[in-house]
Amino acid sequence: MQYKPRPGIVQAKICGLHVLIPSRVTYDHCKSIIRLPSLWAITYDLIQKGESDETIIRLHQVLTKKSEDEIRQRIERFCENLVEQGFMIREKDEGRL
Amino acid sequence: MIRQQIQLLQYVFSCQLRHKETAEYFQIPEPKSNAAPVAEISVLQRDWDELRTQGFADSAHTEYSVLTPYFSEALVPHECVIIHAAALRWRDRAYLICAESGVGKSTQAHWLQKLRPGAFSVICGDRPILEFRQAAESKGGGSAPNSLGSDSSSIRRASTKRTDVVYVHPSPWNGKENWHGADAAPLAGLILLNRGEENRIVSLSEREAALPLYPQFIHTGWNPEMIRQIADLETRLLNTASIWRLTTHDVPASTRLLLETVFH
Repeated sequence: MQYKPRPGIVQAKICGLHVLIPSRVTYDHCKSIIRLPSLWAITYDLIQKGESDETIIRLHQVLTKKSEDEIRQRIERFCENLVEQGFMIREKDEGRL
Repeated sequence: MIRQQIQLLQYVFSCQLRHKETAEYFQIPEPKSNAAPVAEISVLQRDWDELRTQGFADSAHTEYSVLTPYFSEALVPHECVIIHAAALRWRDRAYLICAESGVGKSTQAHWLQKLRPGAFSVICGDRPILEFRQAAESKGGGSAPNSLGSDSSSIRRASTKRTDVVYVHPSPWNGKENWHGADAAPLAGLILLNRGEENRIVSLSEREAALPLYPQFIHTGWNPEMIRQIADLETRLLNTASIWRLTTHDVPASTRLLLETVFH
């Protein structure tokens, strides 16, 4: 996976909602708590644990019945969206952060 | 640096203070009390450095204010936490008005007291302490008993077996108006306040309140495990109280709406 969670982002649950909460070390990049739908919270967690792309894609295929190509695109959009909000980083940019 | 014992609720803390005058803002344990401190507290240098870059004076008042998140985190293991809210007492129950600074918590508190003289008193004007107490467990599979007596119209029943009662306590942090004086009371309701183009009040579910409420819990932000524990406390809090969102365009019209909906 070419993306990874930014160090210092905390995954938690509030009232059953999956949330990402920035800790103080990340405040230069993101300050607001956000909610993730369940499938994407699991996806985020699997990325954080270093699971392979194939494992993550297989999970999405089972749950959504979408094609591999479509799933790859959705995951990339998800990750890019979180990069924009400061919750994830691109691995190729890691040394510059 | 001086070392000073400070008491919040029944807990004594051993604090490293830069200014001895800071202690004057707090309750000092009785000399004959031999309660052992439950935690040591000192403000991290990096927090002082950040305050300096923001233009805050290195003073007793700044220290009194910056200690809030440290005390809050020290209270969390004891199932207590400090929240940014105006805490009012009405009919022996506590109500929190939560909002970012400058939105109008104090204004609403002022108008509530003005429109219903004698009905409201202020527990804490700025940062009350919440204490989570577990009430008796329910028997069998039914919903939990209402542990707060017969006045249940604005009290939400918890659906889990373990029922919390959240007590709202005074604290040393009462805001610029220095409103305080009322005794602690069990929490019945929480009003999330924001500004808008019209006066409006709606009931919120726990899930709808979860994200806007989280930033009002006070903590340093440095400790991931503390963040998770506070998220758990927020879940417990939202399971015990009725919740509304009040959008205010102008006062006292929005306050009258609040009175008609919540305090009737």
